[in-house]
Amino acid sequence: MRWLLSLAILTLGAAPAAAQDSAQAQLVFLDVGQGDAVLVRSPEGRTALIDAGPRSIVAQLRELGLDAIDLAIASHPHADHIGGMEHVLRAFPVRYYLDNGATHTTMTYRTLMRRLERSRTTYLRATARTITLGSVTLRILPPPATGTLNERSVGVVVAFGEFNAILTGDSEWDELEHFQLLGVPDVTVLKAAHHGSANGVTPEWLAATKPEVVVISTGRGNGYGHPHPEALSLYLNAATVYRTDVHGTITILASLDGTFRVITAAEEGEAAAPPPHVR
Amino acid sequence: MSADRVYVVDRIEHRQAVLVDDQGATFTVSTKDLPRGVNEGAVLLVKLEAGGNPRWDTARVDQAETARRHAEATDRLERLKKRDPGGDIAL
Repeated sequence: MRWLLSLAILTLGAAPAAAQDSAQAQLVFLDVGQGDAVLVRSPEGRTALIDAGPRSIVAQLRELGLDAIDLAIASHPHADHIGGMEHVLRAFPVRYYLDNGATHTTMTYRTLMRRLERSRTTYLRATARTITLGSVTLRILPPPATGTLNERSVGVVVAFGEFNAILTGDSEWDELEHFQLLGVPDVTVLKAAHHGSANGVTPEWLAATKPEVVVISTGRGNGYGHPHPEALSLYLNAATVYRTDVHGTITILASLDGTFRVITAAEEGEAAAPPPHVR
Repeated sequence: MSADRVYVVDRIEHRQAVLVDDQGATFTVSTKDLPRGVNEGAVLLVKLEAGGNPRWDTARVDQAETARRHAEATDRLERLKKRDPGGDIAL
């Protein structure tokens, strides 16, 4: 029922106009400015939200037809990743919530965790576990026990048949190496770690994951220089790059055989896979 | 002189500290303008100008409040962890 509602709203033209069919999984990289928020939706209508941007994304999620969230994941407790999470917990029933188990002292974090404790949501630790959303599986890559909050980001491998995507929050070099030691698959889509920062990518990381598409979630005119030119060069040499600061919200429709389509809000259209190498 | 206002170091990006106040507003400040060695999670007390703008050169770390907030968060997290059924999850 939830799936039918979602499809109906998408068909009516809610942005982005991603015509997900009943055999496809969907990854939506929301344009949240300087931050991360990614929605994973299985063909069965199960949903996972990985990070929630710097401020409320409730309106964007409602436009996508959501009325509940099965799993919310906070990669790490920086405000550009959890700033909108408390709003999500207030607006939607959320069955499960997973984070990296690292505490923070900001009011943003404290308000979120108070809300979580008052809710009936089941808290999950970021252990090496698999969470199944219908025919989509999320493999949790546990972060190291120590390090900065960036370096303790939760990693997630999203798998749907032959299609794989990997998202690692704001991981930096040491944590990327840690994930490589845990074992990562070849992926179709890689979310650039740390908004395209130079410390969020290495040639070894790209060789280990072999992405076809890299998505950089970053804000227009951000003051941090994201994406860094060196990082961007590495990504462009390895894959087709999409950026939320250029393309707006980016939707990837994946099929079980590993084929996919990319739809960007900026184009108000779609690029059939394989898309142009450099965008 | 007005009372101190609380700002927390949310993160440090390329020698810039991103501070968050208790209303959720963010401020980007050079780490050179903050106490030496300040880390993410530090709770800062900052004096305000007459117009209400923060005077970052007056920032000092409130060690007690920083520790109190960490302890509060750790206690809450321990309670939340008891909800975890463990193992894989099928939805």
